[in-house]
Amino acid sequence: MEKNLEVTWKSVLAALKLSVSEGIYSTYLKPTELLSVTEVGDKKLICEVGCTSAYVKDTVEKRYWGQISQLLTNLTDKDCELVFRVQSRNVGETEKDAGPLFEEKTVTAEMIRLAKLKPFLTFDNYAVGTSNQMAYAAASAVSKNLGHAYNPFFIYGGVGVGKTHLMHAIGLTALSNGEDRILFCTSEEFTNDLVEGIRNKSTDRVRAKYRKLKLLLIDDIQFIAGRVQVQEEFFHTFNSLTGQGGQIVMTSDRPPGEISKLEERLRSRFGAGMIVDVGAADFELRTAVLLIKAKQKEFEMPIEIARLVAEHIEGLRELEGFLVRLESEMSLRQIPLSPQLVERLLNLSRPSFNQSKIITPTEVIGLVSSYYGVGVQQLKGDRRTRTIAWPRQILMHLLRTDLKLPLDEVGRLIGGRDHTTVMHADAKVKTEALQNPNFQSQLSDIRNRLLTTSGQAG
Amino acid sequence: MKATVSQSDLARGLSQVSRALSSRVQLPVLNNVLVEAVKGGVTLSATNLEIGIRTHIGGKVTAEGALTVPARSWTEFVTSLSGDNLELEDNEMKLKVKAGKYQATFSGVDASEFPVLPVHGSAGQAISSQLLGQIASQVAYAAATDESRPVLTGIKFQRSGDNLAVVATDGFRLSRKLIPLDPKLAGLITDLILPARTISEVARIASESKEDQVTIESVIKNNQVIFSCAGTDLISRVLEGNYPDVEKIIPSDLPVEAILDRQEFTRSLKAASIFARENNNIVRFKITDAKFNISAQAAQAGESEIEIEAETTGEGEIAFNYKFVADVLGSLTSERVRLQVKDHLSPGVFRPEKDDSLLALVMPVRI
Repeated sequence: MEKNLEVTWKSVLAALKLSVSEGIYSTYLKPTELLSVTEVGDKKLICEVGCTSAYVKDTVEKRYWGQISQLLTNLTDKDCELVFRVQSRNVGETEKDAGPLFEEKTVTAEMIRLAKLKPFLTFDNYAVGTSNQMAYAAASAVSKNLGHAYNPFFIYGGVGVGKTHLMHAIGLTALSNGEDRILFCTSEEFTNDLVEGIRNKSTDRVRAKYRKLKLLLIDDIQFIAGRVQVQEEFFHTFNSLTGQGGQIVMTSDRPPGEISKLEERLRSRFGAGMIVDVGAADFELRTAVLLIKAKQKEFEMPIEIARLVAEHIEGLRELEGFLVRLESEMSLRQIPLSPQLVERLLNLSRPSFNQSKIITPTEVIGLVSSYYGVGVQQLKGDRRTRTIAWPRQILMHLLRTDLKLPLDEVGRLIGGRDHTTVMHADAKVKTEALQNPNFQSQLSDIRNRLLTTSGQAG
Repeated sequence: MKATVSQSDLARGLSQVSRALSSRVQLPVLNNVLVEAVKGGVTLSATNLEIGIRTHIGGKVTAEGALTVPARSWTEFVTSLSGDNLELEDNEMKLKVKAGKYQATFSGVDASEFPVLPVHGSAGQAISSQLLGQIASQVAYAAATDESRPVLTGIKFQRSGDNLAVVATDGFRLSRKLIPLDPKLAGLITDLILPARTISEVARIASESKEDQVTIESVIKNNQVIFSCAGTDLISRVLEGNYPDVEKIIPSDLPVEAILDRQEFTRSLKAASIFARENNNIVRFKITDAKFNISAQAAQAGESEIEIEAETTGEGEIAFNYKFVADVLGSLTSERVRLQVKDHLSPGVFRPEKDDSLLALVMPVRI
């Protein structure tokens, strides 16, 4: 109908155009439109003509009434009565094109995709504990003040501790603050882009892609080590970006100082901003992460069960894997969530778990002794050189926390030591484990071996 | 038609109605002035169909009549005469103007070709000239001049609590003035969008006539309003369309602030603009402890940096198109201005130091 009106009115105007001057046509006739046609009886139509202003209405009404009515009658074969009304055509103009002041800063899925970010890796979904508090605080400062707070921002830590999550969260926060010159890539992708560029002789395009950014997020930067040309290109990209106030965020599995075959000029630049480490998640953090992940999957998990799982699974990725397994187990077998089910699944994934209870102190002492290559007697002895004292302290820590032996008993086992010595050792090892991710992984390695050796024994 | 009027009255009247002429009209008769000899004087009218201006000048009329005459040549001729009385007489679509030994004949167009300007119906409401002047100088500048978004060429009047909010924006900057709502005007003026040009012209007419008040009257069926002041009427179209929601973009959380001497700010902005002109008009403002830093650089021309003293809260950096800032500063009269900033991507807020009723937003440029 709307279309019909438009077509009809077009032919009326075309006919009128022939009989009037250009000025009259564009001033008075063009700004009119046919608003509606109502049928009255068999042979009569009422046509409503909209005019943009009162002047147009007056003039058209006065001078062209007869002509228009005649033309419409010819077109429709019915008597046409005209009604004129002042109505602007611009009514209903949308607010969307009202200009940048009114643009809502919504982040579209498209923007996230272009920046290669993952929409669910936000700060909100990031659980914060003692091991990653510092990194979290720094990352959130970086995201709010790109290029100024800490530039470059270097995050390192072991596998599955949440480095990449933090990086994505920085990107997403910057995106929601209205910045869209953001790109996330792995150092592998950077390398591939460069190689492709060299092959196609389009390195200019590769440069343009990276150097116009306001925020560049590079994952696993350690992999560019040893590649001369990539390092050189990255060096220039780095300088050009930071020179324009752009922010660079990198992750790695070790601090810049320990990345071998990294050019000295890059090493020193990486250290110029802020270097933070993310330690392995402790029990509380793992519980929190598990709850967050369960919530994301709309999976109701009571806190007791979360605790139970977190107690036995250390890696965050494994936690997620376990969650998936638990979910599928429940839906496939149609059984409700219960501690028994969780325990059964945990046992499946780690068959030797049950036997950990029967690990004897002797086994622990034997393992620590062989792990560090220090004799059992030396561990129990009086010498306090670091090579001996440190494994001894680790041993005391393991006896204390894993076997839950009383302080006195631990002291007695390790050459009749005072209970305060044990307390000191325990605390020292705990602190070290929090601060040093390498040591942390060493410690869990020992624990794994404990389980497997005792498993074999049992 | 036969009438006698004073040269100075006619010259003034012509220059007044000429403001409604537009060079863009396509209809020849719209370049003409309608002269109507009625009882007690002569009425002059001109219009571009957006706005029309009509003014009455006193004189002696011996024969009534009407004709339209080309505005420019007639105005030029009349203003070049000395202050005598003029005789106007029409003869077969020609207007003869005679003053002493000066005489000219202008070819006219029949008065029936001229669009009919609406006449007064109801009594209308009074609005203060001073207020209109303030709206014209403090708000109107922010309206869009480009016709692609018609509603933004207007000034929006809307109720905001107990106040009347008068707003103009072109999508890059915005100006809002709150004035206490006069209940008599409330029904007439709230939710109205008038072209910014209308307000400027009305304010100009009011200030030239030195009248304290202007009456405003709405012609609802035509979607028009008539402003009247000292024998001159201005008829304006009311703009239709959805005006963007202004309240929601006025930021409330503004942690960074600088209070500056307006004149010093204006001077230093002007100095910075020398280089900003060469680089997309970008000036950078940096707020640090008790200091306000204005800088501009151009790749070819060079750069400048100016530091002025300021009362500051917080620290921040933001860049603007200097023209927008200059417009804001030009619209303010207070001794000191307050600039408030949320971050470098959100609009900056300018206000007179001690007056919260006026506010200007300017969209920053990304740096």
